[in-house]
Amino acid sequence: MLLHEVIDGPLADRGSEPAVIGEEVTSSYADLAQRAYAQMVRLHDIGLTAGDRVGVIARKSPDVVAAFLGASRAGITYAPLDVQASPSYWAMVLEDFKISQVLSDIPGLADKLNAVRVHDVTLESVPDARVPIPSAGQTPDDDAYILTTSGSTGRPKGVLLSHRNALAFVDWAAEETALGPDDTLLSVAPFHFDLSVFDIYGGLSRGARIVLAPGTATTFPGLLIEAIEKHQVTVLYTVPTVLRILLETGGFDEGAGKSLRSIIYAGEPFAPEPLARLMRALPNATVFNFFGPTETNVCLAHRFTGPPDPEHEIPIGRPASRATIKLVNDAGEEVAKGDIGQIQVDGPTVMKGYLKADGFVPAERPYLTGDFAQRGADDAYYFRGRRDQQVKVRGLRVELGSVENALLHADGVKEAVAFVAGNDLVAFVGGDLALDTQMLRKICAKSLSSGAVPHKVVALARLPRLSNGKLDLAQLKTMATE
Amino acid sequence: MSDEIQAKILEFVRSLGDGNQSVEVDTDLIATGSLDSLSVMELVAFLTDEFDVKIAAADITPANLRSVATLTALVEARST
Repeated sequence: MLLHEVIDGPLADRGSEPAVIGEEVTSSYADLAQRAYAQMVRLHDIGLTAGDRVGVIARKSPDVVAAFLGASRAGITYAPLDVQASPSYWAMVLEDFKISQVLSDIPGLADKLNAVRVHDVTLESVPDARVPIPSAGQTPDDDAYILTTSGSTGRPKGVLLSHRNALAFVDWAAEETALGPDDTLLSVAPFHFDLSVFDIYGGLSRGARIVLAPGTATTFPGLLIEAIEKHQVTVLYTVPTVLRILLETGGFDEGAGKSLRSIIYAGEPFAPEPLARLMRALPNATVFNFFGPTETNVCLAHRFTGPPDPEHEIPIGRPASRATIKLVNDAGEEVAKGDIGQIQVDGPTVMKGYLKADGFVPAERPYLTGDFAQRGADDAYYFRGRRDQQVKVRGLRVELGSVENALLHADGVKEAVAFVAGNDLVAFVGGDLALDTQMLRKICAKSLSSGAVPHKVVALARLPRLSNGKLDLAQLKTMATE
Repeated sequence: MSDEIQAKILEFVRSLGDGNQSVEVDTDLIATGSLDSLSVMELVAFLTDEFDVKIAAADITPANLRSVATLTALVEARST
């Protein structure tokens, strides 16, 4: 099966039912199919053919979903980019991914991106989709879409995924959460974030309704509460930070959110205490913890049977998406049960490979995630940290080295260190007390995705060091919380 | 009363970020990027503590948090 084919079933059974509900437009399954067809025709008209790539830099709308489906149908690989990033970031990523045409809804973007051609993602007219068009001849193992992740050198990398990669996860996840035509999903994650793959293709494949939350919804919980109530949302897949903010501001008090029957979280651990409160506030909702990097999508999952016991650690679960999981040591040998090992994943969701500035790098199979885990007596897996410097900040993966690298490139900065303090990505720079820290954040935004821009930058004359010359991280972390 | 609330909110918003010193009563805090997800939560905590009002999740919308003026109106509406 190919990505755009997920709507064929619902289209035949319930074509006039709503499929994608945007802020301004609601698109039924029949309308979405027509818009997807129109997008495919347009992609051909602008000169793209099977095997080409197209960038998408736009706010979420039914037209953007249709553009993904239309690209899939045309055999064109789509790359949704962080719509909140800067033009220089987009230009760099597009160049690395060898993308020369972009669909967007940002006014004046063409003037800011000189090296590419920019087209309005919104089509004025929707042509009749009954004209037969030949298949692009693609197979499930062909490229479908590209997601971006931060690279260790500060340059983002593309994660190239096939139709099979996406649908192996989508089918498993839809089954696991018993997704059906009576469901309404709230799409909270931006489309460049892999959580959105479940929202879009899980929802469409099962004939459900997908409500697109505006990009600012995670900043303003009121918008999420409003959308959940207005559309009687039943399924919510998001990061713990968003759920915690909703909970702490009373978003689930007095019966609010009672339409929710599945809550899925991923991206970072959820502390047992607020999670238990969430589950008590919404006793009818089943909660799932999904785990896996963008490169493998969800490869482990845990389904809660009740509020977690604060004394007992929350597992990342058991193999998901038909993945084969092994915990291995540095020599690549499977560790003894109960020992800590690196999570190694094989299965249909393992990406095709990375797109880097210097070209395509095929993924090694089985894939080593860089995440460590331990198998418990209950056979479930428990997370034990990451190999390298990658951290999760508010659910988004950030390579600390890339943040430090960006800061080190700014005038006057002699040394830089980044780390996570609470919910924040904090950076300290040494060189001059008078460094303009707001300017430094802007410099970071030029080469980093929005999630990798430090929330706080603190300038010091020089960074504190221990007698052995290493940075005094303990002192910096104390300073960060003051 | 309203002026006093407004002055306190303005002072707090200006303290939220290095780029916020030039914020005025009618500055669009969202368009200028003066509020991000974390500072929204700090702001809500401040309003709750400082003025002893209950701000519900449903109140935390762009319309209510658009400017110091709309924030002042929100606090007044919630402090009856």
